[in-house]
Amino acid sequence: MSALLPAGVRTLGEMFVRAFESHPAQVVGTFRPGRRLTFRELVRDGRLAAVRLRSLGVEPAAPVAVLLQSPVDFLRVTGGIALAGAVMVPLAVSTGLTRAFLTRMRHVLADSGARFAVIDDPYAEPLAELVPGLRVVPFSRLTGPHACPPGDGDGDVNGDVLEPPQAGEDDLALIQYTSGSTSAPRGVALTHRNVLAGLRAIQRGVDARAGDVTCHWLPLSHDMGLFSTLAAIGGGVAVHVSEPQDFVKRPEDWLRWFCDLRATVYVGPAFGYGHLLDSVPPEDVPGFDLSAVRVMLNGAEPIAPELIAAFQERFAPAGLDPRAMTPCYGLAEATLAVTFTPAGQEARIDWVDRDLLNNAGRAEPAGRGAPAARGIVSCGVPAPGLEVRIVKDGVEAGERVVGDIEVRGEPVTRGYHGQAPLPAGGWCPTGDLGYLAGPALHVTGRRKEMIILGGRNYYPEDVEAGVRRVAGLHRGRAVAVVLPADHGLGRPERIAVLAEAATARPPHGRLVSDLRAAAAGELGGASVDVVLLGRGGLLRTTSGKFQRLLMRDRLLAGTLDRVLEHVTAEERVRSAA
Amino acid sequence: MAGQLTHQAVSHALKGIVARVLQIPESTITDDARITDLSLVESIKLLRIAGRIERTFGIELDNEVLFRTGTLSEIADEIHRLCVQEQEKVA
Repeated sequence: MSALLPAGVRTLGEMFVRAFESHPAQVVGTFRPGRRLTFRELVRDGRLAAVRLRSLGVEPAAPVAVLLQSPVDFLRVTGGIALAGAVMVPLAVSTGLTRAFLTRMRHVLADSGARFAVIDDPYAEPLAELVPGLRVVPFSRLTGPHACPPGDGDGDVNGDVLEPPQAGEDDLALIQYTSGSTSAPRGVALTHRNVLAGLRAIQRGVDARAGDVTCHWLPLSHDMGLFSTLAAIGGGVAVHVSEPQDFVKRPEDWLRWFCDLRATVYVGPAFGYGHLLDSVPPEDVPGFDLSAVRVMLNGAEPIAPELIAAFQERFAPAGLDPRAMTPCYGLAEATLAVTFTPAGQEARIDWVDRDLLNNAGRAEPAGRGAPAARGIVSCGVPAPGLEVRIVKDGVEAGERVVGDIEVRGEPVTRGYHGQAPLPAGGWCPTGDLGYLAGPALHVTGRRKEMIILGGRNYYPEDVEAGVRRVAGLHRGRAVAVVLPADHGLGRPERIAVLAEAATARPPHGRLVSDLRAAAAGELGGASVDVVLLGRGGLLRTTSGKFQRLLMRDRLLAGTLDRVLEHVTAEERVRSAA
Repeated sequence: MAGQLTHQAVSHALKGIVARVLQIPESTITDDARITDLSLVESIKLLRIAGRIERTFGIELDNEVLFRTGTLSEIADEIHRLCVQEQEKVA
């Protein structure tokens, strides 16, 4: 029996209530601490949170920022905001209120208009001090017994006291800020209609069934984690969530937990599969039982063709079904999912001629073993209700022609918050490049200047903000560019920092070390290439704008002038040198 | 025994962990090096290193310790401090 959202559910609030009414004993579980919350408890807590939010002054349609570590707490507040008719603005939590985090938060608050923020108790006071004017709500304020000063309207625990909001399907449910750089974030505005259609697309894509157990480690502030989880709840399916670092730091414990749950559905980015390959040696695999797994969604970042076979080979002794690996494609602008490898079909790889792909923008089939062949993993076909087209030179392109991927459908946003709506016709540009082979979408690259690390988006501007303050630069002059992957050499894409050194004379070890460390701070640790130039070495237009793409092209061609040092990410830096 | 865990032993074990996760020769890891000076460091590897440190030393490590731009020697200091703290709890 399939586990789809019931017809007639038109808002997220209704979805939560129906989930509780139909499946009161179904659970949401967490890895650490190992606890479970029933849907009944989830909605009870959501209703209480809604009453409390309203009494704190959160009006219907008001945007509320949410920064919570625990997935269960996050879901209780999601329900609360939905039931109060307000708009959720999820934000990733960081370890501590760092400068980078606060900068991003200030921009998101300003862009969304959110005047309220729900945050874990320990951070409430520090945040309130750092962002004056923001109404900070510690999480404990919204749930559990709490003595309130008079006039603060505690409300009844019984949800009947709260007037159901007049929110309709076309009212905003969420603003998703996974797009855009720190200083210029873009909020994807999603209505209840968008979100529920998006959840249905996910449910169809995974062929959701009664008795399914969904299990993942994704943060709920991110679209992939949030909507996979809501899709499970909406379909009455059990869902278990851990925090990302539990998966990364203790992969075998995490896998043990996953197997003990007899999980049937997993979702995560490509690097998660790579991490399991690195962490679970062949001799340990027979100790795990993955025979219950039906679907392992693989999306959010490009998939290397070798990964598919390597993963299946390693985990076959654990009973993993070769049809489980399910490459998919989606983006925040479409709520989440756009295309899925069809259920029950093995992942497919399209082998094409690399030179024709790069130089002529055409994906011509090549023999798999051919030296100039590049394998592109198919992301499958559009989910019901979604459409995909390829646009090149302003017109819709035909079969196997590479161009800009655009998407359309009920889950797709009508525009970014506060910006002009998308053109009529509803086609939304994705910023990704690819081609169609029959109905199947293949993603080959990206037009947007950004890099994906660990499933998250990072922008060169964010790195620039970090490196400009490094001592030893001439007038703080530094830019960052994205260097494309070199598939022939097996080099992944990376960011390169180009900076003017105050002194041309070596040694430059300390400056290179400082630049690399500053960039790593912005990228969650990832290494960058560092290119030091002499004073005045960064190219600029007559009006003073940095010519990033020109410098990048010259760097790649080896014709960039005034280079003092070029230290790639692979190299060991001697900071004393 | 507890209390006899020297800074040197911590430093040695730390370098071993870092070398294995980053797949680089231990000899290239010096006390004055920052983690980011080493080859191809990225967040998932840092978290893996953190996980192994936690398991090896029986402590809970704040990820910030690794993400901060301190040297290997400073990180070893922090681990040593946490170990001593842990042992004092038990005592």
